[in-house]
Formats: sequence, C-alpha cells, structure tokens
Amino acid sequence: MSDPLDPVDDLTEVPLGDATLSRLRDVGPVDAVVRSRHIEEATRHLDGAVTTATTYVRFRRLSIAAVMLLVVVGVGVLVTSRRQDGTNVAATATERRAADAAGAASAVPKADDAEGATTEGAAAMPPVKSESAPMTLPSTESTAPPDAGRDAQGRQAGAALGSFDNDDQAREAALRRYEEHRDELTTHDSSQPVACPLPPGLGTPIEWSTAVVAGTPRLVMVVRTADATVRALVADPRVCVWS
Amino acid sequence: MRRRPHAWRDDDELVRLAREGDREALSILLDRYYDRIWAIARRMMVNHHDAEDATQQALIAVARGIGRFDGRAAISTWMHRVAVNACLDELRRRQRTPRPLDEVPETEPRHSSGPDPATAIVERDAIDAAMSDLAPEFRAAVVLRDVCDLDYDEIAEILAVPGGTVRSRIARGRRVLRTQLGDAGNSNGRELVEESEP
Repeated sequence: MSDPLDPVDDLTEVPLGDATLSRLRDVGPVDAVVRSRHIEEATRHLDGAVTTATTYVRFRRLSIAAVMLLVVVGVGVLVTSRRQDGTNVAATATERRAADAAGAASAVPKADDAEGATTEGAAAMPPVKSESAPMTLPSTESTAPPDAGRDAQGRQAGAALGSFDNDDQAREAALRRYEEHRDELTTHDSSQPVACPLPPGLGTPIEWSTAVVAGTPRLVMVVRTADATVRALVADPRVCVWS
Repeated sequence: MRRRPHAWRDDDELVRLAREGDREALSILLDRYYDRIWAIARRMMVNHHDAEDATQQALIAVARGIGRFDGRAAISTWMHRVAVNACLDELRRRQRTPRPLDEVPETEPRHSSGPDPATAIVERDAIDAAMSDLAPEFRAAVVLRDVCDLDYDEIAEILAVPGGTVRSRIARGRRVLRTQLGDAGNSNGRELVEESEP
C-alpha cells in the first residue's frame, strides 16, 4: 500500500498560472510593530538560552579551577611534608654520625664485660646475612685457625638468630636462639663475629662486642694495628663495613 | 535612527555571534529572514492571526536552536526548516485545541494587492480556502516551491524527504489549487509538462 503523502504516480510537473502564482505569493506585509515585537521576543529567548549556557560554562570553569586549586594545594602540602621529612632524616643522620663517632671512641669494651656486651648486643642486632660474610678470615695470632665446618656451623647459627628489629618478642626470641647457638657462634674464633669478620689489613682482632649507639646496634671490635697500637673499630652489622 | 553595528556582516558571521549570545546579531539575522518566514507561515496557516503566532514560534525556535546549528546546512535552509516545522507544530496544536465557532478567520483589510480592495479580499480568501484543502505536508512543499521559489533539492533537504516525494507533493498540491482556484494554468507559468494521468 502506497503512502498517501508519497504517491508514486504523480511525478509530473503541474504548473500554476501567473495569476495564481501572484495571488499565492501575495502574503501582504506585516505590521512593523508586530514584526519588531516578534523579533524582540525571540531575542529574549536567546538571552535565556545563553544565560543557561553561560551559567553552565562558568560553573564548569569554576569546577575545573577548584579541582586544579585542590591539586596544586595537595601537591604543595605533599612536597612540603616530604621536605620536612627529609630535613628530619638528615638531622637524624647527622646526629647519628656524631653519636657513632662519640660512641665508637668510648665503646672499647672491657675484657670482663665482653661476654655480657656481646649477649646484649646480639639481641639488638638486625639479621646478618651469612652469605655476604667473607669466608676468608684475617690472619690472626690468636685462637685456633678457622675451620670450614665450623664456619658453616657458625653461619647457620647466625642465620638462626633471625630478625631482631626493635620488637620485644623478637628480641627475646633472638636472645633465646643466641643462647642456644652461642657456642657455635663463638667457639671457632671468639675474637671476631663469624657473620661479620674483619677484612685483612685493618689489624688483628683482639676481641669484639656489640653496642647500641644512638639507638642503632653496632659491632665494636678492638684490634691491634700493624704499628702495634690498639684501636676500636665500629661496623654496621647490616653491611659489615668496619671503620 | 538606531545604529546597528552588525548590519554589514554576512549570515555566517551573524550566526557565529548569535551563538555566542549576541542579541544584536540575532536580531539582524531574524530581521533578514523575517519576510520569508512570514510568507511561509501566512500560506501554511491560512489565516493572518495563526500566521503571526506561527511566525513568533518560528523566531523563538531559531533563537533557542541557534546554539545547536552546526553549519552543515546553509543557514537559509535551516531557517526554512525551522519555519516549516513551527507551522506544522502550530497546525497540529490547533487541530487538538477546540476553537469557538465564532472565531472565524479575519479578512484583513490591511493590504490590497489590486486597485479594488474588495476583489483583493475575495482573492485572498479564495487562496486561503484552497490552501486549507491541502494536507499540511503538501502545503509545505507547494509553499517552498511557489512562494519561496526554492529548488527541489533544497525542499527535499528542508522537508527531509526524497526528491521524488517533493515533486509528487508539489504536483498534487498544485492540482488541488488549480481545481479550487479555477486555474487552468498557462504557458507563462512554470515549466509546463504534460500530465499523464493513469
């Protein structure tokens, strides 16, 4: 069924006469007042539309500006906070270095309390990776020569100490384990820690102990240097660098 | 005399300014197309008052829709489309609204096309009556062709129908007008093509 508005059989041009066309086109003028009123009324609707659009655009711009401001403020606060943290860390590090130096000078252990200091210090020591410890012990004029089997045993004992951290329970557990493995740690060479031996060239170990310097566990070792003077060396047990 | 700073601008420029909220630019644009919109409305709506209302609605539709005009069609095409749609909407609205019997179309003595005012009024009434016999869609096609003098492609674009449909509507609309107005057509009219009624 064909669409009554779109008949397919009426595609031929049907002309209108001039008179009819003329009458059709004669719509007459519009009153000037009416015309003016129509246009004025219509332009008022543009105002409304534009006002709405402008309000929306302004709101959107304000929203974007507010978000950007928040981001900038947030980043600023973050940066300031980090800077303050960095200052604190730097200050702490400086204090620690000063305290280390002071502590090292006064931390030359006495022979009669070496064992106690060792016990206390071991409890405060962080885990020391025995794999990183050099296998070669420095030449020494004291105690028995190192034994490979004992070294391995010592490393196992060191590893058994586990993580010390500052947690009380962990500290107690570490102390217990230390007590259990104490012989294995110290029997083969009591002059220096098995897990953190003294590299060659720094002197001959006399005895070692642990100490907490400025809240940080340190290994302290008394050595006799090549010119026969006695010095105290300090090392961070985590990196085993003696100085 | 009021100075119109945008009067020298072309339509595209006025559209751009109007989209940015320039009332003066929109005012000039509406003024330029007012006569054309009015002509469409006057012939589509049959009587003068309805035509005024439709014209107002068309202008408001332009003002409200100018922000969405994307420039893909010519502004003149878009204006014609808005005007035709406003008239069709107004016709539908009036069909739904009951009107009192005493509201008869006014015969406007405000304009005379010939030396005899009485004859002009009679002619205008005859045209209005003939147009009212056309379905609004046919009326729109005839008005755009014979009043606005647009070509078939433009009319097809405005009415959003195929070109063949436009030709068909114009032909059938003209045939009704000729019958109603007693117009047998003549060789001085538009291109004459022999009809081949089945």
